Amino acid sequence: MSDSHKDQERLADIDRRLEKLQAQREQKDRPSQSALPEGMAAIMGRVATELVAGVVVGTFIGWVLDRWLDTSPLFLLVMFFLGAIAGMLNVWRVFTGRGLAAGYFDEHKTSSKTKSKGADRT
Amino acid sequence: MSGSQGMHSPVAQFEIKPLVELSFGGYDLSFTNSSLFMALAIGLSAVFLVSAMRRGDLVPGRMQGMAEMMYEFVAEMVRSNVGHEGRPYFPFVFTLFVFLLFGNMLGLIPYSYTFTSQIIVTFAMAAFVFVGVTLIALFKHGLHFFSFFVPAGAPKVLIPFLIVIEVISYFVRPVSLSVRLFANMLAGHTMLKVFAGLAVMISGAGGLAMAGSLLPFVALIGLTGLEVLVAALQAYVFTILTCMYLNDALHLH
Repeated sequence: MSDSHKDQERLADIDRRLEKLQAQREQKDRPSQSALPEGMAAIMGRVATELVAGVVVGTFIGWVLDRWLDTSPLFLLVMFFLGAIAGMLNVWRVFTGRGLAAGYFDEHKTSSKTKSKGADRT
Repeated sequence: MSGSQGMHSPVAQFEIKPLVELSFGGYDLSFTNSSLFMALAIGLSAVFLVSAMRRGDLVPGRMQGMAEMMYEFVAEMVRSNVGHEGRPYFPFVFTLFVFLLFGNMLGLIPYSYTFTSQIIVTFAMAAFVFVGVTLIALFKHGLHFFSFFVPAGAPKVLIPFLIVIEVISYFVRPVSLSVRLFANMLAGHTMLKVFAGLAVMISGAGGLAMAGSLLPFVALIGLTGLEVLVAALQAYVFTILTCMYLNDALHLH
């Protein structure tokens, strides 16, 4: 009687420990927030490249579209500004720690401390 | 640019010189100094890793310790940025990191050539990462991948506008990835040459002015140390961004 009681307690204990270990493993396997360099110079460099690259890529796409559709300079102008906006959006993402993913995260989910993208999967 | 007193132009170091002229079907496929240092980076990293790990001691020696640290560093990077699903891509990420690290470090040796200071080299690598990551996302998620560009919870009127912006910001990735590495290497190496040229020029004045050349020389020593840091850091940044793109591709959101 007391033996089986003890056994059950031990089983429950093992279950608890297993659960804890599994949780730890999952925590480990999930991508955590990355560690990009966060010095002032590193952030400035990133902001500068994002802004310039946004404009350059936007303008290039516009130029290609114009050549293809023969609408010069309509798309060049439109995409120039959209590219600038995309660059600013990327800068905003750098500062709000949203990483580099396109799209928006649900505010309620990102406001949690883990910030991991794996956790935001729906 | 190049002065008359034998002063070298600080950008002469980036010149591509063909070592073995080769032309194939109208394309210039010459083996250049850039190709030589790429081959050297691959060869040296292979020799280093193989010779360091050949004995496989339980208690690692100095070389083995270095190789294992590199391995664990990248493994940890993949694990914490991509998670469990990133493991099949570890060999690629590790190769990328080692290639860039050796390339950047080799470039710091006097008279060597820094192939990462050429935008076409870094852009080719970034484009490969970009296309590969996009294909992985397409295979894994199918058409669902395109939901990546649709911001959740945005007003309906704005969605077409926002999709265009998101697509642009997706295409910005290979550009900002390659420009970051290339610009850092180019700026750093130009700065080193400028300071070195200054030291030589001042010492050329002779007499008491020679002492003045000590100043740029001391700065040069400091800058070289900084460049070692930048070389390692930029290899790391390129690799970690690759991991983050891979994470986006595997998990969307």
